[in-house]
Amino acid sequence: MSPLPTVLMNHWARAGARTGVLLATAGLPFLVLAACDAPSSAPVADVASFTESDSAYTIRGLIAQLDIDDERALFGSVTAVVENADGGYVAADGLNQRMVFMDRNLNPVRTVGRHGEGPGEYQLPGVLIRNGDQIAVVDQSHARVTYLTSRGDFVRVHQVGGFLSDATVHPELGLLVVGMEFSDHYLARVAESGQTAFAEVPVRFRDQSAVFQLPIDLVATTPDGLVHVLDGSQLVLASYDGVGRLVGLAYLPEPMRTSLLERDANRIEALGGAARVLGSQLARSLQVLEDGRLFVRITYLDTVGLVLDLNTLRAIPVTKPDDSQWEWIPRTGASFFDGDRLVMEGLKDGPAALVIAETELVAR
Amino acid sequence: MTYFERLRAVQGVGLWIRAGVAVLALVAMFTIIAPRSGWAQEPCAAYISGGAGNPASGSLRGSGKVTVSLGFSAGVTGGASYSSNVGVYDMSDGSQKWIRCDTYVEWFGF
Repeated sequence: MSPLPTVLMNHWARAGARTGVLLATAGLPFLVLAACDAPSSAPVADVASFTESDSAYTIRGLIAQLDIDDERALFGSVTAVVENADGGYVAADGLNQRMVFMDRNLNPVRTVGRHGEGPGEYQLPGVLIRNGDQIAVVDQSHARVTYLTSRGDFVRVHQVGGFLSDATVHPELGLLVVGMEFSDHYLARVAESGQTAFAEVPVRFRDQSAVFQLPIDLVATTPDGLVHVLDGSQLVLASYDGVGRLVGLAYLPEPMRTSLLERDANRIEALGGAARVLGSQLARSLQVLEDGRLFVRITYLDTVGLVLDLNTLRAIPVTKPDDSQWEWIPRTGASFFDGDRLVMEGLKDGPAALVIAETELVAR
Repeated sequence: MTYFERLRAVQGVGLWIRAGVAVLALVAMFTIIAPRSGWAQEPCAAYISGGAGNPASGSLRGSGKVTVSLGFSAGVTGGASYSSNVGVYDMSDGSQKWIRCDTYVEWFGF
């Protein structure tokens, strides 16, 4: 382990709870645990677990693809993809530090950005957020958010500082980021005057082990103003109201959740342990669909994502067909789902850099 | 009442917590500072593996330098700072790993 002061390591430790606290609590009744988390001054947050649905969105056909050797794009890596206000798509290239704007059939129409420190320049554009007519680009290494028009023109940059793993733009609260500023909170609310803590981490999830870890939680805002944090080390969705009060906890469905966490703990050890693996994101992105449901990009067996319905607490899998003709569609990588179209990064050694697949909701 | 309806029902309760959040911000003990230097272009390997027979393998998505300092959230910094090159890898199991690429930890006081 690196020679960090214990107090500093503790600050980084929450995301490293996977091997300890999580496994220790996995089999306990959630309601009992939740009651222990509730601040004494606030009502007990509602606690539940998602149940996997009997139906699934499954890939039915290919709508469009961007060939991997298409000279209009030539991606180094696709770190994120999002739907643009004009109906097209925007993809972030993490290795080439640029954003590729495409039409609805994945034809590149403009590429913006380059490596650097200045406005419109990036180090690691890892997250894209649709914010009305604008695209917010989260540069995880520069720890700043750059706003672009739907055509890719630079609007402004919001320097946050430190390290960012995800962000959301709330209609009233403004920019909320997953960073390292506040050890006991998932988020920081970013304003011109500075940052304030938001979304207190439930006590049970505050790991005290001396493990150096980066924050790997995800965040999204639903149209009702609720802020949802997917705790990356617990695979639980924590929901907060507009003042940052915890109002609900919903665990991802079993046995997916426990299986993924156990397997990941073993793989982290295989890669050198927590001293070398500073963060592990099982859930890659958290996105809001137009109807208010959430889409979590997560891989488990034939599942490449989950649509989370907070009304029914159903988790509807988005699945890859068990058919050899779809073998080249990856289980990994960036993706975007609108309830119909699934936009995914292609395999690195496959024929396409990006694909759009049509999905259909079917009984399993 | 569904889970979702209960979430909505308790929205708006506890406005007083705003003040508490602000106080917490002032007393938080840690802060991260922006990288002091530009991120190296290729500090990390293009591919990683957990070894023979282990399915943990991945390809590089991007890389950078992470620097963290011990200080106050109000912007006051002090003590020591930790810095390390980190690579972001897409793994074959669908996860994403943030891997420390260097074998050393850089320290500097200020």
